[in-house]
Amino acid sequence: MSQGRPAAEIEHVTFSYPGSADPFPILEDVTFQIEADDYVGLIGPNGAGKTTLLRIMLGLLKPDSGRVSILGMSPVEARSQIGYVPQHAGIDATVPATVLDVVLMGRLHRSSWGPKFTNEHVEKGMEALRKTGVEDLARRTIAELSGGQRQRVLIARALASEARILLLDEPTAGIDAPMERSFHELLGTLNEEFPIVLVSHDIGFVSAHMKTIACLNRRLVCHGAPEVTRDLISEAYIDHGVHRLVTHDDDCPTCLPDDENQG
Amino acid sequence: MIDFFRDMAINPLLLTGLLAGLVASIACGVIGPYVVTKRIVFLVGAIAHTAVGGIGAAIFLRHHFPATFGNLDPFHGAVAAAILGAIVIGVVHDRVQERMDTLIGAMWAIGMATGILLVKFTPGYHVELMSYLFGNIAVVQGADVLRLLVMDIVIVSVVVLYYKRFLAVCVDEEYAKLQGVDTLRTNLVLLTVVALTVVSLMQIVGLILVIALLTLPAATAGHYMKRLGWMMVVATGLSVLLTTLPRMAVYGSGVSPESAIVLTAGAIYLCSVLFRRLRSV
Repeated sequence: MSQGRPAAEIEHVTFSYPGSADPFPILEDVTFQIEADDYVGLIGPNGAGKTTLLRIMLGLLKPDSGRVSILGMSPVEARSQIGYVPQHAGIDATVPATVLDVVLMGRLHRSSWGPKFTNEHVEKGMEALRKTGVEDLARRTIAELSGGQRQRVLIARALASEARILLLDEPTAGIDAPMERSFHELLGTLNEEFPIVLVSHDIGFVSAHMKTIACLNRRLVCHGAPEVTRDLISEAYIDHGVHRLVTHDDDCPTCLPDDENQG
Repeated sequence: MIDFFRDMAINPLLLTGLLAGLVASIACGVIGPYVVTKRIVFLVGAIAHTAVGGIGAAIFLRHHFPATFGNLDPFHGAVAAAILGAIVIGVVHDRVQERMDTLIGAMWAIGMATGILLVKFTPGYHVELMSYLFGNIAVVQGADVLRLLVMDIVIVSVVVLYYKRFLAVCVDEEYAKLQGVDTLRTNLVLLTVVALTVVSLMQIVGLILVIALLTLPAATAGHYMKRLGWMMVVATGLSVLLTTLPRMAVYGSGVSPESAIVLTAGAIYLCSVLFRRLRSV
């Protein structure tokens, strides 16, 4: 898998929202690389610029300065090869569409005009649902699914697009702890095939499967193996007035022991 | 009801009215689900009222400049203004960070005011405008039916072609964009066929009641159908019933057929809401 060339390079990226009253940019001189077999946990408190960075990586926002390259291309060029998994709450669950309909959206850029997807596309969609373990839900509607199931459907959609890198935005929002554990295992398995970037505000979400942790708080506060020191992560949070660290996953190497976690 | 069929033999307008209802039902059933799903019910209202401006302009131009615009029909004005209104709303919403409901309200009022103003300057055409406002299913001609049929063909062809893309922008517009869908163009195409549908239905129930016919059958169908395609089929079926039965039922009673159609549609929708509520308790 790892053939030397990084999956993504973010170089000196600075970004402010136009018209923002904040005198500081939301992202300032952010630089890091995502290796071809990497699994990056991009964490930071709310308002740290995580989603902004993700949107820059998707080419939905242009950085004020700096350069982003995904799979050796500009973000816009790379779009069709980026498997983007948005927050599941962003999907309109009242739309009259089945799970398979939603997953087939991942085949849109390869499909022709007309009302139907060919059998080949449907087969790819079903294969993606199999991979994420929700094949039996294919004929259900999104409204009938739990948060965890919806998240798996959205990952299946990203897989169906034959993406070469996965970007996930706050995937565990609204998912309970047991679901979260199996979700980590799924991502660990998928990481054997794809580089993954997972954005979360919850440092308890750092999983044993992650290979790199990037802590963002306007600047990149730390970046390295999950064994990064507790102090560095704390700094990223306490800067923002958040003193209590939330942990969910016992396997997490960077989590605080429970007794230290109560204050 | 029996009177209706008896008189159909001597009054061809009853038959053409019936046919017009059937043909309009197709546009209504196919487009209604998009209007409901995409939550653009009030945008439809704005498009309909923009069409009034076009009707007024057509009547005005035809009356004052018969040499140039002698062949202009209010229908042409309605189609042009509705499409223009739809595109303006679509583009402005995309390019300018303007509140959608404010924009819709502005188009709504400006369209209506323009129409009334222009007709005011054109004596003798008040009735024609009124027939567009309140519908004229009782006097629909064979040529109107043909025109509706052409509109149907255009609307259905576009929907067949764009089906996957329309669904994608309904489910998750941002993801559709990342998948290389030109979301602005797709939305504009969708709004254009919505505008065509609005003008078609105006012939049947009048613009004031267009919203009802475009939303109520689709919303009722949406209570039971999981997929957009089936929602269209059921909404079309409901529309066919709605544009025929209530009209026959009130025939000869003095009740206006347009009101009968919309009140029946409303009653079915509300019953369906209640039924679902009771079933889920």
